[in-house]
Amino acid sequence: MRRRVMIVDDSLIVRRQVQNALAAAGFEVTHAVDGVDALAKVDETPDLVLIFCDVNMPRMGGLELIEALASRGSSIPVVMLTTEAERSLIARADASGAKGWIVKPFDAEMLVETADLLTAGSAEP
Amino acid sequence: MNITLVDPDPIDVAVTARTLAAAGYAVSTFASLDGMLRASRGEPPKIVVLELDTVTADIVGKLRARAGAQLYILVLTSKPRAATAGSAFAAGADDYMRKPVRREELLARVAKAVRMQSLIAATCSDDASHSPLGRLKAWKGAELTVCVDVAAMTRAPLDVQETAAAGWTPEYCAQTRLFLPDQELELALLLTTNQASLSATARQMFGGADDPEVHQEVLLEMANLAAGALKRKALTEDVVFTLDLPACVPPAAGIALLEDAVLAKRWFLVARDRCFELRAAIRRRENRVVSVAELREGMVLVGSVRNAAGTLLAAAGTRLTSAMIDRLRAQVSGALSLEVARAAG
Repeated sequence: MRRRVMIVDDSLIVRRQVQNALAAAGFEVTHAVDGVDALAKVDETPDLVLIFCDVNMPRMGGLELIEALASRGSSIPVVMLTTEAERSLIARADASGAKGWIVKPFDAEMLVETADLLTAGSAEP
Repeated sequence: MNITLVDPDPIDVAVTARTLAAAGYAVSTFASLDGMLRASRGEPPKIVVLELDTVTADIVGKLRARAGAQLYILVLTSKPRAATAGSAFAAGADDYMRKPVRREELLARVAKAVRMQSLIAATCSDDASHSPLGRLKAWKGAELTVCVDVAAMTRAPLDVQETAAAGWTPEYCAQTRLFLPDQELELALLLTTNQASLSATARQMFGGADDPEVHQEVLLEMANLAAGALKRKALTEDVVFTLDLPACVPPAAGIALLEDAVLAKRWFLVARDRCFELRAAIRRRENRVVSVAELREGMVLVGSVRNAAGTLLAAAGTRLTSAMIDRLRAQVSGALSLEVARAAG
């Protein structure tokens, strides 16, 4: 079974870039446009094994999302994918259990390596 | 220009040094950071290629304390975990690449560092003010940082120029802001372009037939990347900006926004078949005081908000989202007054 990853980003461009990179490596990709959308889709997607998530988004940002997931007891790893590199934001994400922080523009190869690393043990693509 | 290599691996450092020397650079090599710092007391390095598995602010801070704020630091790592690139930039590195090093990539990144240092040498003033405005003025090389990021996203080489391509007419505009809420300052950023440039960029990124639906989205994400690059360039412990979300506006309205700027810069990112104009301007922006009931998405908090028990609900500098506003309204009185850095609407 193909591993399912979610990309949470308000930019259609970033969602397409992530989709192209991960689909080519054998992942299924679910899209969400902000934290509110992501929370709803997490509930509907029991086979989700990894989330890539932007920080600055409408309605609910990435840091709020990861805190909301942590408060629900979610064990899905989350990697932040953002233009931000502010230390206080990275520390806040770390404290909430984020598994990584990738600064845009991202490298497709690194994205796939990260997805492979964090989903090892799940079904192979 | 001299390139300083710091790498404990004697084989790696020899290979990298040979590659750079063959490209015409003078190269100094060191097995440790301390050794490099001891040896370079008289003349601080300008460009350091530093091998690190873990990049910390302490290491970068130590380097900058000895070599000056204008030092360009390219971090190499053999442990490319997802967090590494982010922590490298957060710690103050200027660029980052993974081992094994590909010759072409190394030379391209070092060439970028040299270009940036040349630009700094040409424009550097001695005004090392740590005030927010002083820090913003010290954008030296910011246009190259933006250019490199945008080119990486759009998969197209771009040059920085001071003038537009022939026949340039802006047709589309994306606007975003970086707030310094406690200083009542904002850095407004405008990215303008034309239909032909957007079409060429979208095709370059995604191939296939032209898709008009993605044009506006391409411009918005380019503006977002440019804002992130500028923020990283101006980021310090004391000066932390809050990024706004980019929005498309008519070009005339965007340019009118900059009329009261106290400092403005303008440059063009140009390739053979496309041109993007980037304007960055610092404006003074008066804060407002609103009640919790009046909070709106997009406002930026000037101070932190705590509940009656003293628990932090939202930190100073937070850009409010609707989810966060709902949480604040549930936990503090609606009549509580808060200072915010953006008008509603």
